[in-house]
Amino acid sequence: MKISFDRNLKIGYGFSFIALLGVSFISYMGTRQMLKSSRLVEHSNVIVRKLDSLISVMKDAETGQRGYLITGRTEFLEPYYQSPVKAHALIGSLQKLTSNDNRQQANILNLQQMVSTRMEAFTRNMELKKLGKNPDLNNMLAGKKAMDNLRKTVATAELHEQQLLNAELIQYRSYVRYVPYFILASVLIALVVTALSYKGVTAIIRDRADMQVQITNKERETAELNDELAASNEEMTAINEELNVSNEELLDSRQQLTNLNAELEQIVVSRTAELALSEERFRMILQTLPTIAWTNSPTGEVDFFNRQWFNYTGLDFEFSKGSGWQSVIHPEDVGYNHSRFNEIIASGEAGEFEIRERRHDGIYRCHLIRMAPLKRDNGQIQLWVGTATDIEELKQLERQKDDFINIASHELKTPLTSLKSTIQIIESMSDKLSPEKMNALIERASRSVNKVSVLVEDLLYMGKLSRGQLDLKIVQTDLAGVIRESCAYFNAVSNVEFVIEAEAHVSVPADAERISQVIINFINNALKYASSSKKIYIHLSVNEMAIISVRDEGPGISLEHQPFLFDRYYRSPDGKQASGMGIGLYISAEIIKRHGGQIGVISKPGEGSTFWFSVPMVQTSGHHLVEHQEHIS
Amino acid sequence: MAKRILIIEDDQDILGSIETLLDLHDFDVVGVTDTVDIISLVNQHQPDLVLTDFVLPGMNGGQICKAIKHHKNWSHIPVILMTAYHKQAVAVANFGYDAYLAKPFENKKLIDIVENLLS
Repeated sequence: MKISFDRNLKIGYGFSFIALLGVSFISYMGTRQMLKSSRLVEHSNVIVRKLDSLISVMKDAETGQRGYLITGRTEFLEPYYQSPVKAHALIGSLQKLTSNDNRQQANILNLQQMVSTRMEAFTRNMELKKLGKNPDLNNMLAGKKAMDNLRKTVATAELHEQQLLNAELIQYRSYVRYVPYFILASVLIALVVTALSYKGVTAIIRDRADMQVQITNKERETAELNDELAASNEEMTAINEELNVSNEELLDSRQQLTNLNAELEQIVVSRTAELALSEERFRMILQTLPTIAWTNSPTGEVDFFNRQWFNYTGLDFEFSKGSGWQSVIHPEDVGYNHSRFNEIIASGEAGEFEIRERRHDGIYRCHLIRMAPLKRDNGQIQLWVGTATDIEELKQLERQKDDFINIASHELKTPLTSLKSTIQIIESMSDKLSPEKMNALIERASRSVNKVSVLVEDLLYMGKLSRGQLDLKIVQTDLAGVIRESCAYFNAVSNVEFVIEAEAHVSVPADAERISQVIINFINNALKYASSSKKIYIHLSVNEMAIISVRDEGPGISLEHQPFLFDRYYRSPDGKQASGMGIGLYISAEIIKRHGGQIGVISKPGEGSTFWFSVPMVQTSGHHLVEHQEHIS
Repeated sequence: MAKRILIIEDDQDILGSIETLLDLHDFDVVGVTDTVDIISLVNQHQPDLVLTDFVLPGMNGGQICKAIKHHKNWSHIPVILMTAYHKQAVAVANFGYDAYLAKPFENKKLIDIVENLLS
């Protein structure tokens, strides 16, 4: 805008100035030419006037001469006497004025001669008069002719002068004639340029005026804003004062808080130290636990494992932390573990569940997972403590127990089935039975009752064993007698032949009933598992101890099963004959152990089996010998 | 002509009492304590009904049942399965037996089942 404005102004003024210069120059030149032409006119006028004056002077001389010639009075001659001087003065002046014009110089020279001729004519007339004679006519005529010539020559000179002037004037006028046009054109151009410049400048000025108005408005608005700002500023000042006051209060409060914080930090530092110490102690305690233990953060991340964890899993901490510990969980238990773990963490209360965890050798064992929160005084959870107790054996025992109950039930039902059926036959069909058949049925019923009673006895005995209530009635016992009593039990129900080789009078401190129970158990097993055996050999010998053995001629027992035969609930898989409760040999072992003796088996597949036990010859167990002897009747 | 019943039961006392019971009800009874080839036994005795224990040395009751029921000549022979185990414990469901008898049983129930299957 500014550049445009300046340019317009420069253009306007520039053109105006140039136009003014042109007009001034042209006017000056025009005026100068006009002055020059005026001078030329004046020059010509002077020449003409002097020529006219020469005629007048010559006329005055003629008039004076005429008056004298007529009157003779000399006073008329006054003009005549002055005429030659005036005429010569005029001719001299004319010669000067026309010095640069040859034609006029010639005319002037003619005029001079004519004036002289006339004057001579006058002078002769005058002399004649004075002589009183009459004027000579020829002279007169010559005078007149000179006068006429004079008039003609003056007219010629005037004409020439007029022509000369006209020629000069035409030349000047032809030049001066264009001057007004030049001036007019220049003025018009100047006017146009000025108008345009004016328009431009006006537009710019108008814009500037508008801008000025806007600026004014803005200034007014600014002023209003300033007023508002001033008002706000006052308010701000007021608020600031209030804030200053509040700030001071805040500073006071802050100082108090800082002090309080410092106290709290001190408390926290000491509490943290105590906690760290307590956590350290706590973890040391966890290290001493025989079970796997760990700690979780309040949100459940594991941050500590005791060494049992690393021993059991074979993992290191780097692998176990995060979610690495989950890798030991049995794939089938992962989902259950995840949901139970999250439930317990979310509940904030202790909980437990069972999962299988992989041992370092790849074997999964059932673990009871217990998790409990350790809470601060304010109830906030500080950490979670988790333990994993290996309950695999417990689980196996539970399974064994379930199996045992199932098997015991089966074993009881078997003699009960025959007993029930036999008794129902006797009850409902006795009229169809011969006495022999009736006796056979009664014998069968009796055997079944015996089987039931043996089983019940074993079961009761198991109960006593597990409660530690096995009391032996130790008396001096004749072992050969016990063997015979035991075999007599089977003679009634079995066709097997017993071959007994027993030293006589072997008496040991023992519970005869329990020793008999062991022998019966051995024989029962021989009948059950070595049913092909026709004979059963029973041997009694004395070394440092009294040793009784029961040998069959059955299929024998494979070596891999022999170590487990005396375990509780163990049932031989040999022969696929899953019979018996798996407690007979266990009970036998317990009885012999309590007598201070030993029990065992010697067997090879295909060569039969020999079950044996020994009892000390003298009292070694804690049981006291009772004074009177008891025998099985 | 008396109907012949083949009994497979490893307990001598149970086998004896069942034999006595069925004999008294005029059935022709063949009793064995175990078998390793039930089809041979059936071919030999051609029973009208088989009564078998479940837990047996040799073939067990399930195998005996299946062998008969899948045999082209003998699949029509009714088979009664007996066991002292809990029914679920031995999972006897899929052997194709005609009747199931839990030990110990009432004599009358056994006779009813046998007569029902043979009628």
